[in-house]
Amino acid sequence: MNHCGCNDWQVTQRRALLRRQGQVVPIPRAVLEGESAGMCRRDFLRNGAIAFLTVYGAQMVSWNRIWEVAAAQAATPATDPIIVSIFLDGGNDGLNTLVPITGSDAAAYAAKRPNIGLQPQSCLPLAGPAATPDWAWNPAATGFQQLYDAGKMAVIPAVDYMPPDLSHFHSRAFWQAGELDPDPDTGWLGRWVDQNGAADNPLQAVSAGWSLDGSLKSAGNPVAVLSSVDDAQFTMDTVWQDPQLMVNALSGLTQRSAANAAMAAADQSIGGAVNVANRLGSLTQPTLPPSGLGYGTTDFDRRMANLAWMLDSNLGMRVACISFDDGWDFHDDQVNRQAQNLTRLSTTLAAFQADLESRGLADRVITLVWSEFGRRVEDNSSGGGGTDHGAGGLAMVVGTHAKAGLAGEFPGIADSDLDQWGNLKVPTDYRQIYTALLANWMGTDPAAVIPNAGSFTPLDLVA
Amino acid sequence: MAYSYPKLPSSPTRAHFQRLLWRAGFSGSTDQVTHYENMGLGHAVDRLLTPYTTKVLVGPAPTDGGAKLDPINHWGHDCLWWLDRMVRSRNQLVERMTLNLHDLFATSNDGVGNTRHMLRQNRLLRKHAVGNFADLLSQITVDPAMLLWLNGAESDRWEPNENYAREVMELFCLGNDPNLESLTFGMWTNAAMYTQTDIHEAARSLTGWRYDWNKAANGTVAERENPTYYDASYHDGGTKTIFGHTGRWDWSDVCRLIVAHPNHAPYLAYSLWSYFVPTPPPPGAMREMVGNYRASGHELAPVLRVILRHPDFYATLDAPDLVKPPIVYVAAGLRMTGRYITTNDWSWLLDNMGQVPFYPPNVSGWKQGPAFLNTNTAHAYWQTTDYLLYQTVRDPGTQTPGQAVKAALAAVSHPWVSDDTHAKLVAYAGDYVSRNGPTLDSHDRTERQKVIRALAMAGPDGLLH
Repeated sequence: MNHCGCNDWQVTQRRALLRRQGQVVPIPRAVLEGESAGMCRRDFLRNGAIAFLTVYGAQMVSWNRIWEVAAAQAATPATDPIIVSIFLDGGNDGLNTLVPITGSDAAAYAAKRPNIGLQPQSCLPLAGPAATPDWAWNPAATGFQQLYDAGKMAVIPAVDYMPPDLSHFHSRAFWQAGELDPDPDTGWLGRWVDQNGAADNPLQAVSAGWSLDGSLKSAGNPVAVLSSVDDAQFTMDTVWQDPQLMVNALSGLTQRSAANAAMAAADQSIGGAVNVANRLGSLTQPTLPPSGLGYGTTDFDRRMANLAWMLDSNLGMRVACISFDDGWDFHDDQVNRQAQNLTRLSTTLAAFQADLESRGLADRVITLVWSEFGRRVEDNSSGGGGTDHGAGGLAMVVGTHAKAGLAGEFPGIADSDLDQWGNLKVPTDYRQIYTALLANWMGTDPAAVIPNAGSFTPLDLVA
Repeated sequence: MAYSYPKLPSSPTRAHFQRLLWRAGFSGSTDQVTHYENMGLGHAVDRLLTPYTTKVLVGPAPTDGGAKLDPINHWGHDCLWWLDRMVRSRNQLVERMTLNLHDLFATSNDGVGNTRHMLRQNRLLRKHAVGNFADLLSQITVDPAMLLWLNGAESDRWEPNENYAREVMELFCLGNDPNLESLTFGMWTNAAMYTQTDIHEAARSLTGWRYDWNKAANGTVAERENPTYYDASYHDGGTKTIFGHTGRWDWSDVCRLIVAHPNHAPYLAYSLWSYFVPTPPPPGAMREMVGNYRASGHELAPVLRVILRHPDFYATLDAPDLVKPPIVYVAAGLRMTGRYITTNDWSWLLDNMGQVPFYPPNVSGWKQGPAFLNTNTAHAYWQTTDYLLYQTVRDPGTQTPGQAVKAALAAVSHPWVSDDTHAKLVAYAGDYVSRNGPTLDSHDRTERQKVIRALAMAGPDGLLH
């Protein structure tokens, strides 16, 4: 069937994915995230109305089985490396995140960005073991500065695929798939799970959000959506005086000898769900987010803190995906809005890293931060200044084992450096990040996960 | 024509009418149950089978965040649009049958990729929901959503695609489960089963339908809604033999031959019964349904009338044995709590619950019954109930535990609760006082009242009807 890339089609496809709760993979299309008419994802997140505890796999796995496996995992000290992937939805402007402040690039930057250009002296320097005078952080990105200066961050300043497509939808799908296929059956981390994961532990690969991240779509081994423990609980609006009695009463209703098969199914499913909630609830000893680490109070902070805690719970988790809960598609009014996002993102990222360190997990976790593309070098004057879709976004790899410094080339932004549309001539393919993480961090063969892996020379990202 | 119907239960109780409005619709309010009760059971069934043609929808029009719905373009609004009909329509059986037929002719926008076509098909199903099945089959065979879904628009005389031909026989109209022979007491026979040759010959006959992608994208409203057309140059005009009948058949002949196939009537009767009664039909019911269907020239009403009058339909009033499908649960929940469509939350909640209208998981529809329930969906039924009860409960004042339960059940239109559950609800109300009393303040009284309603609606009894 010949679909065009029209809105109806995108919405339809996205909806089709949403529908597939706990059903058979493969799931056909990597379109979970994104903004489109009527897609109120941020509203869901802000209202705390998030999908929970959903297992995607070739077959349904019982929760008892999952927890048996998780218990077995927890009993053995884990040393396996872990990848956490953070997606910045909408195309973050790399050039206003990491600003060129020397030479011809600085001059070109000032000339091409009269509306949103940042003053070099207001930006934050890159110090520490990988100090460089050529770049400075957006003044709002204090957490990035902290991580970079501590030698815990590799920055890839211009990464994309060739030729760049500039479509949110395609670009996101390509990044998630790990190949240039707009209709992928699996995601790159999902394929890693198929190759290296277990057949009975969906918690090995977790989307910390409201639905399955396209990167995690697997063909065989199970993966899960688990936004937070709270979301599995049986709660009710305004019921705070005695919620435990409510849950006990609900559970009590299921304890009887059922008169027929339908009644038995109702009793067992509700009883089982309460059981899951209680088991998860009993794990929730700590207050999340933990205080003193710099976490904020947003849903993203909550999900990141939950993720750190779940990693600490040693449930066999190896890969996790999470989306920042606000968009980055700043066609207008960019400076203020990007600053708000960068403040929140960078602070939370630094808090997450501190959290991992305080839990003794830091040596096992590398965090990848990515967006589907960068922005046009030349700005526009809409609403105080914004940018159109461009090529070559900025990605970051964070962790005690991240190779501090800049990785990959920067192609320059003088006129002669840009392509015919005024976009960066992207020197680095995003799959060079994936092959680096797969081979040098996870210690697994990239060729089993990334098509034509041999043509994507791993970047020097892992120390 | 002489139709044959089961004798009605001799002295129907209120529970009979509650059952009728639950399974032949989306629950009834206290007043509605009384309204139908006053007709008597036989007339109540007839009333449901005779759709109103005016003032079909009663109550405020659906909105999302205060704005009118945009079902074609706005995510979730297709779902809301239909839910609203389930909530507001006076033709409750028509809406319930539309849902059943959506399951029978399961077509997913996942494959169609065109909401306009899905809504068009929905209107088609509704139009024939208690009407003539042969007419419905003819029209849905060349319905644009179906032509895309099962590749009819890609099938031509050079490469006939067997997808629709196979599914129309296997799933929609004839069946291929050998167990049907005993389940239908020999009315369906394995000996008459269609063959692969029949499928291929039917596929050849069905060729000729095309889909104009340009009109679908750029045409007039009518063209975008239905950009299909018949082009004889794509049709295989040769002779074909289907079910032993030979001729230069085309798509309409296929439909005609299918409804005339000896296995069709028993298959359809058996399938329809299963949407209303989870236990298999007894021989008498099968005979009556098949006989009425054939005698009427493939009318659905004389079949449905057998089901809705049958003692088996009312057999388990004290222990309901049919799981409420998620869509039924939500539409009924809105009716029980006296609410209308004002938010898009139902769309993602239904997704959590595992049944999104216009998106059946595959061409065989949703797995019905207990298959709807697992630990994830059970939690989602509860979460949905949280939304259904949102800001609907006020301080009921001082109540004894028994009064609290009585008031709670009345407030949500008396969902069925077993005696055991009823006792446990009263116990909860009492325990609430002993844990949080001896006197309850306004919040506590409201909380207790709300929890009892939630336990009745989303507890295990509330998932059954």
